[in-house]
Amino acid sequence: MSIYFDYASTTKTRKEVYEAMLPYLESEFGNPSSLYDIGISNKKLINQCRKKIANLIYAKANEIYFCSGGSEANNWALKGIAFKNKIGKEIITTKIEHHSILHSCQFLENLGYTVHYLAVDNEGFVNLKALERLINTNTILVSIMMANNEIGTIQNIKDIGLLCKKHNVIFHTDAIQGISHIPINVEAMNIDLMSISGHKFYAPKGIGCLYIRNGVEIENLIHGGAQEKNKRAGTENIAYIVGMTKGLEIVTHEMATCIIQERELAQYLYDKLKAKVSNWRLNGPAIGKNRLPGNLNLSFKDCDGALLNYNLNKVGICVSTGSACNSNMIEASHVLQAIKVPDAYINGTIRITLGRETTKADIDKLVAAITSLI
Amino acid sequence: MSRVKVINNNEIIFAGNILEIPIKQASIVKMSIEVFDDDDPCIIHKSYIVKCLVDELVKFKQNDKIYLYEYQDKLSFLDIPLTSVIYYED
Repeated sequence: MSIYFDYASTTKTRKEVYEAMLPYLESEFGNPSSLYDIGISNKKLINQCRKKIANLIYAKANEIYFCSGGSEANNWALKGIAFKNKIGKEIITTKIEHHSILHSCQFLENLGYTVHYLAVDNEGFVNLKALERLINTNTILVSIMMANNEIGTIQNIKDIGLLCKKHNVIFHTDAIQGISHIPINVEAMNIDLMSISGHKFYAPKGIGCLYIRNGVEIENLIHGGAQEKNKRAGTENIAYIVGMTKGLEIVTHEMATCIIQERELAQYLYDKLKAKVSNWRLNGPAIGKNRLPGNLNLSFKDCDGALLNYNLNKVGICVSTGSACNSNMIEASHVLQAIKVPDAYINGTIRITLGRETTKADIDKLVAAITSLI
Repeated sequence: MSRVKVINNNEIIFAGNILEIPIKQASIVKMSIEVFDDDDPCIIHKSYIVKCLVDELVKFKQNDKIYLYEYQDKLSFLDIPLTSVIYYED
């Protein structure tokens, strides 16, 4: 049995979620567009799920659009706004976004859009003054992630949103990592578009949604049937919509406790490792309110992070590395490069992310394994 | 991983990190098919396979040396003469 420390990558579908989904994979399989009972009841259920999710983020039900996951939601937000606004043609994002944002931006650049990539400081924070300097009358969208998937940096979304509102610019945030650990109020945070993915909070892979504030005009990404109020075609994935809704309800309900527990475990891991191993650094903000509570991105001096990952796997421990595949070569991730992790450390990076099943005993085993391998 | 020297016929034919020891591409692809069912692995998956193959190699380490000729049937994935000896440097 392996010990899992990669909750930011994906999570196991929890039992309550799985059980909530099962009827819709078996007896309640009707197409929600069909006008007979098992279709009608599923249409109703989807709309109830929409309301539940909306309530959890202080949105309106008609602002929630289900889709296949986080990458689709991010692609839709960027391309949908860009294609609807061909006059301005300038987008602002950061250098540390997920590839589903950055590669969508590159795609739009190839179509003639201008994208500004904001630098971040050495903890991954956006400078609001630098953001304001970039906003101009051609800006059609600002897209800044709520919390970084690699280094856990939590941005000041409320103030970023306020700035965008002040300049009448649409603000999208990728909340895929954030939503399970940050209480979200799209109104108070001035968010116009927000991406969510189910499998980061113990729901299955392949389901997500995009929050689109009423009044924001967006082009479709997927064309076809009239599902999702004509905005996102495709027969609704009813079981997964139910699963994501259940997962989000539970994770939101448990959030306050979960934050305390994960932060305590992260601090425990940090302190244990500090006592046993020297010459390593924590990338991103200090453990605390500005960092995702279960995230520890660590760089070990003169170490090969991929090899450490490989050797940890051999002893049954799952972590992820700070590497990425780029044009047939392996290099340090764009996030680690953006926060300027020193050369001696950058290739020795692993990301450890904790979750609901992590225990102190697991952490003891991880620290012992790292100590023996470094 | 350790630094090694590979000597064949009194000549150093490789010196460096053992993870960079020459491995036949065909062997990488063969193992990639076994592990991932992928005959065209990306660089990250290739590097994982290389680590697995090097793991196979280091099993035969004895007193900081690996006498390749003793294990020719098991080390055919190496892209160096199997008459060589690997010497660990650290």
